[in-house]
Amino acid sequence: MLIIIDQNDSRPIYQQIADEIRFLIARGELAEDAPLPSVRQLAGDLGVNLNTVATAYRELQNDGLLTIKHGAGAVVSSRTSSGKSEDNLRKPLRSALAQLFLAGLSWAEVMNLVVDEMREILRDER
Amino acid sequence: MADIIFLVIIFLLEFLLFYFLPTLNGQQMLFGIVLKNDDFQTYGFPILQKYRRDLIFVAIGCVGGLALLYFADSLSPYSLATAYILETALIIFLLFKSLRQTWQLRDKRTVSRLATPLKPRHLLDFTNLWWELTIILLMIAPFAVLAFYYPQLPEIVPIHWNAAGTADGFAKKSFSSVFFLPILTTILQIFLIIIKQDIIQARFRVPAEKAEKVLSLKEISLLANIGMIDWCRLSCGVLLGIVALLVLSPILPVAAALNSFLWLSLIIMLLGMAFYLYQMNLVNREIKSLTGQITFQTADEMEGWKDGLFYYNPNDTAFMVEKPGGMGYTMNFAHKRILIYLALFVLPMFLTVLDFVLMKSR
Repeated sequence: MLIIIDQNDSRPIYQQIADEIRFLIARGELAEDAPLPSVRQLAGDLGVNLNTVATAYRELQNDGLLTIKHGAGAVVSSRTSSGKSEDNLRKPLRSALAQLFLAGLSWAEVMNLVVDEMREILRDER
Repeated sequence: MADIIFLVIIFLLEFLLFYFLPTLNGQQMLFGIVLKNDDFQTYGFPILQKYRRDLIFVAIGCVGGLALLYFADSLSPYSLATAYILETALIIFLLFKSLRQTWQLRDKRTVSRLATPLKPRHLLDFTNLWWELTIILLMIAPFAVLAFYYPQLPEIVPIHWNAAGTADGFAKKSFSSVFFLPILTTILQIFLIIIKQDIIQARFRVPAEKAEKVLSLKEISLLANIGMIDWCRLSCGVLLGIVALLVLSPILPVAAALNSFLWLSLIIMLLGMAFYLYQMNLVNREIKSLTGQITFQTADEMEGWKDGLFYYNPNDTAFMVEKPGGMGYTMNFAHKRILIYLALFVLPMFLTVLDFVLMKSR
């Protein structure tokens, strides 16, 4: 159960951290009530600013995936994010798919990629 | 004569240790720094040769000087001590000089894709209840024993002993002259538990390539480090507990027994530490054969290293970081937490001076 951060990625670091944690939760590796490392520990491990990790945790908290208790640290509170309309969920998917088609991939190749990624996320729950 | 033989053995051991120290970490490494393959042959090897040649000069110089004094019949404990301190100072100078040169040749590869486990590391997860209780007992027991015997102690008590366990320093009986060592031990134990906490929170991270395998190796390395600090805490408790009881030697026939036990526990302590260092060394060799490196720095972090010895990086959130050779940790001297260390380091010195001043004024 590890997260990978790439300094050369175009996404900001906090976004990468949040995405990685989301991925682990979706995949079931981080179960409900699983504790996360403290902001200080994760920031030290990755060599990033405290605010970067705090921002990532806050974003996940706003999604309803984490609860942050003072002193006790962050805990996975739910495996379903709350308060996102279908429209909001659709937008990032659409832009990701558009990028794939713009990169010159064919219909079948895009389909393969999507199925691959879905398998990666749901590999334990099939 | 026994003193001289003892000192010669220590001289010899020190010489051997420092002779083999640069290459202890295995191939393509000097002074714990990873070099590139060709660099080791062309640049690294001459540094090693020069270091060893200078080391032999220092050893011959010191032993020769002592031999001259011995034959001139003016060998005193002071000249022995001076020679020993001089030798150590020169060796440390040589070591720093060579380390500095080697650091210029280091493998400058940095990582940008980082992996870290999303698992909290708390002090309690690495704590054994019985171990802690033993340490606390060792910390409290000297206070209790000394308090019990305090009324019976004579007005003048021994406060310093030579290697054979014979008292060679005395002071008036007072709270500070009797309880000084247990107090010092308590400070030391607090210091060591803070170090343990910081080692647990030390940067724990590997490159994204082969992350799973390298992480499991780094975990063994972390456990060896924690094992070593726990071992130090227990054996320091035993050692200093024994030394604290030596003050009772005027009223109880304990000095001889305690002294032999003291040396035994010192040897056991050093053997334990050597075991953990050996374990770290094995793990590091495996990490090196997997990735070609032992510790992994981002470009930012690489800037923080000064000659491979000190780490000063105000932009780094981590306080404890692995040393470049992967044997143990070093502090980020730009981190605020360094103040705690400074305070705990200065406190015993302050107490010693205070004790001295109080004793003079009485």
